[in-house]
Amino acid sequence: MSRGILDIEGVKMFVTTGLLRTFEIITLIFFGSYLLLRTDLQIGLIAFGFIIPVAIIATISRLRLRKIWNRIQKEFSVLNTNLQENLIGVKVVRAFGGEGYEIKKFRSSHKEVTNDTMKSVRVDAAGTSLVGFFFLLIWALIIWIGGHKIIDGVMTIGELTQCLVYLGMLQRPVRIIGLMVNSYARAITCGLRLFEILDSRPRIHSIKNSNSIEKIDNIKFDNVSFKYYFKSKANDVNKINLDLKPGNIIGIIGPPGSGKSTIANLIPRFYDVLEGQILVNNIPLKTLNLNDLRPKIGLVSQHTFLFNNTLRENIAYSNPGTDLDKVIEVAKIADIHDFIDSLPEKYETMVGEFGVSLSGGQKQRIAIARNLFKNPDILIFDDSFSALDTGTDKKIREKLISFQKNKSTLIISQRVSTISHANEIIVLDDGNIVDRGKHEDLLKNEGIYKTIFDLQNPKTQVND
Amino acid sequence: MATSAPKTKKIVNAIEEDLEQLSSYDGEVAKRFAGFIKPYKKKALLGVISVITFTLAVLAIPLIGKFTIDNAISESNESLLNNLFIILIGFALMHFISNYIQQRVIREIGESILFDVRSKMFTHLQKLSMSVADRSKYGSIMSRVLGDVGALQELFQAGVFAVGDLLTLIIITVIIFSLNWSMALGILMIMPVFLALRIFWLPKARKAFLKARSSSSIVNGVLNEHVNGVRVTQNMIREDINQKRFEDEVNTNFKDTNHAAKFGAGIHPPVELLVGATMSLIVVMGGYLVSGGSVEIGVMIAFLLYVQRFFDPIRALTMHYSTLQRAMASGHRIFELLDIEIDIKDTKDAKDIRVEKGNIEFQNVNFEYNFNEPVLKNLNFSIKENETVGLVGPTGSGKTSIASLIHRFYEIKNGNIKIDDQDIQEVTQSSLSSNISMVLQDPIIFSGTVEDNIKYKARASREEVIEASKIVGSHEFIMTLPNGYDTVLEESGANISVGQRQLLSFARALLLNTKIFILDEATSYIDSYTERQIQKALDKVLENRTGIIIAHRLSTIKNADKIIVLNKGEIVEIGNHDQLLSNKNLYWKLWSNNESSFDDLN
Repeated sequence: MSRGILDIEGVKMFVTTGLLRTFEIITLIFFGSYLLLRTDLQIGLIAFGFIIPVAIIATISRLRLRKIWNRIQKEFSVLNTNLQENLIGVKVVRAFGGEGYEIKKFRSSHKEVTNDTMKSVRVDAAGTSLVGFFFLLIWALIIWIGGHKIIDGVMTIGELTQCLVYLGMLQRPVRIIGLMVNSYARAITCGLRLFEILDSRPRIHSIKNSNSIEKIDNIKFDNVSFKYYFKSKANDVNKINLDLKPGNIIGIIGPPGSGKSTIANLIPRFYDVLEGQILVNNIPLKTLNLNDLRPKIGLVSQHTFLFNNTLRENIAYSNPGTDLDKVIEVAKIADIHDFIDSLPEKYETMVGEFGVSLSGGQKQRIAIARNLFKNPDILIFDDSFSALDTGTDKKIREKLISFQKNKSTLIISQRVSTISHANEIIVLDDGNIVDRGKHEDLLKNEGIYKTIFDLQNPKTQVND
Repeated sequence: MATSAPKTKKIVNAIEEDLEQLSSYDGEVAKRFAGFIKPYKKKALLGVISVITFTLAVLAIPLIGKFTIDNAISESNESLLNNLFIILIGFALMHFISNYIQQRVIREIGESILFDVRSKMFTHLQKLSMSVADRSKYGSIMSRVLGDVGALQELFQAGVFAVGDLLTLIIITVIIFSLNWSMALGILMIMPVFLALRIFWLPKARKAFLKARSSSSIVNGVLNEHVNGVRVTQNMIREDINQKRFEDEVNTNFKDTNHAAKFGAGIHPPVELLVGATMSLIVVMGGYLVSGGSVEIGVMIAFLLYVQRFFDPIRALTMHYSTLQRAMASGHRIFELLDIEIDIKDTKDAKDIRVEKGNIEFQNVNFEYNFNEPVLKNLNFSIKENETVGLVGPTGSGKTSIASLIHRFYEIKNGNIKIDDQDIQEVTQSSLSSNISMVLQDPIIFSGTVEDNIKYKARASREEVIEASKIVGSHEFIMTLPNGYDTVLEESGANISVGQRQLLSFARALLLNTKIFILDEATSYIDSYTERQIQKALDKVLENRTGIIIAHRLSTIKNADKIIVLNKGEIVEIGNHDQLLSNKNLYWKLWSNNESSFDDLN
């Protein structure tokens, strides 16, 4: 992201300072040199004997500075992170008595920035003062040689003055050459990266002549396998079969890393399956138009992301500009309306970086409301009740039942109580379905499901 | 939808304005700032001397040129010409050396001051108690430490360079008046026009530039947000709306930038015009005087050279003035931070605490975060050596406050807290923190390797790190990471799960190897698997330690030697699980309702 902005900035700098100036500078140098040489060839040649090394010095010091500045930028971002972590982790710092350690860490990372900045200062000072010195030297030489020529009667005072003026004209463009070379170098690297981004194509896109659907009736997983990294040995989910029918609730449970979220991410086709296929209304998912498919799926993901905007905008994200009544309706189902109503600016309250800070549970409820607002044909909850206490969890699920009438729901959870009411519960382990059935049946099976259930039940012993 | 964009803009503007606030000269700020320059007094003096030398060299060189033309070349005096050439080379060397020194020394001092002020602020921040930390927003602290200090550094540099600019103005005035006072007077009449132009232009140009900058930071912010929220956007099919909005912001930024560019370029023509007018005035007046024979041609050339140099210092000085205004505002904010009182200090005769047994005692402890809102009311209890105590109660009952108080994160209102019969207010804070380990609710991960994170500040060997890791059960997952203990964790540990982060912070606490071990709601965000792992490890860890476990869920503390049930800052009941069940009070009610946490009870 920041790379993108810096790259654009680099190209912009090139166009404004580099490209435009190039023309100006070449013209100035060309005419300046021509006039100087025409006025007095000898003086002109001597002047050039010095101007060329000046241009080289200016360029070298610019390129060296660029390298140092890039390094400083990196070191500064480390410093920035250090400070930020210190402030966010203040409780850990206090709890571990890490103040002295933190001060040492801060000072040493700041020292790096300071040392390199000092280095850049030295390079810069040496470069500019050397360039200035050379020009004074040429100036003095012209007066000296020109003076002798005037005394010898081969030159007029007017011609000497001309030479001095032309030298003055050359001074600025020669100094700038270094700057130009620098902006060329930067623009080339930045430009290459920009084109790389512009030329890339999204990996997942709708096929030509894609199928469209009116409504999602059912979703079927037919022996679906998938892995995130092509190189991984094992599949992240393996040979999954499931059938999600209208009005049905399917629950998925399993240890962390067992592949629960992966299943959720395959349905809106955030990834393409490796083997097997997913069918929507018996049509292969891959042949459907994405713009047709995704609006019909409400996926409440594990990590809630809120935009720096009002609560209303965050809930009505899929269709801004809709009546507030509809926003309130879904907020009520997600059990967040009362809270929003208690805020001074109600639905116009800003959230995110610049607004009120919300608890994890409140964020999750807003994400739920946002997805209900879409009025999708299928709702997927990817561990999205985890930050809610069991009471609220239950309340929301009860209200959802009437909202989801004739629609299908997939609930992924680590909590047994969240999915115990499902029509079918799928127990995942290591990407494989190890058990499936209704709550009561699974308990009888004495498998992983029972273990999880016992863990979460305060009345059963935990020390085994 | 139209309401949202201006709102964001308003906020960003407010932040920008905060950073760009101007303030008039304030002696107090200047005096305190001078304190930071003091250590570099000698070096600063060298800087000032080199600025003066440089200014003199810059101004003398045209004068020597004039003298050469008038006295050596016009008079055909070759030996004088040769001598003057050598003098010119001498001045050129002086110019070179003083230029190098002034640039290097002044900026180096600036960098050193930057480092000193930031270190001082950072050190001060480390001494402040949690009650200050709770109240402050880290964004504003960051901008003070990183941004405002930069303004102070600029002020120092501007101040030294201003010496040279003022000197230039004075000397040029003197020289041109001594060369020809009537021509000098003519030039001086143009100066007020130039000054007025600058004063009129500067604030407007600044405003335009700031506006362009703030609209470009809005563009960056919007872009950043859309990249981070790309999943939501795809899920909600809002690509088109977002693209349109982004284009709107980019267009605004384009307009603002163009406007600023016009301002930037707009000052040039009138200034050039003025310079041109002044120069033609010299040529006309001078030409008239030269042909009349009352003025030598060298004088006129010198005039032309000096007049060009006259405008630059004026330009620079008006710039320096706005730097001063900005620095004053920044100075206020910096000293405001440095002036926050350190509310928890070691007493004068504070000794290091000695914890051998790990007995903890609360005697009539009253505590409040905010005035007159009691959090703990007259609390009395004791925890014996090697006991494991569970603290339970609904949100707001004060259980987390108890843990914070043992560590003296906050100061109690009255009463005493004693560890092994030593009052914690009378011992050094550093010794206190090296005798208490805490696992906190939010596992904080610092950027660095897994090993760095477990070690934190402790000087431990790799073996010790692995051992602690094995005890808490994090060794297994660490070994599956690409580089094991050397795996670099991303910012805030984004590449591992919350449960894994918590295991690391558990290992981090264990490595401190203290007699007192506190788990402050350490299991509330994690899955039941990791929780079980931590439970198992705890039995082992707490064998020879005094343990305090603060929990939401009953299953976590069921096996504790003693359970303290809190409600609204008061102890409701104390006892072990079985005793509490026979009490038939709050604990029992919860248990028999088969509820897993207190917050479900209403």
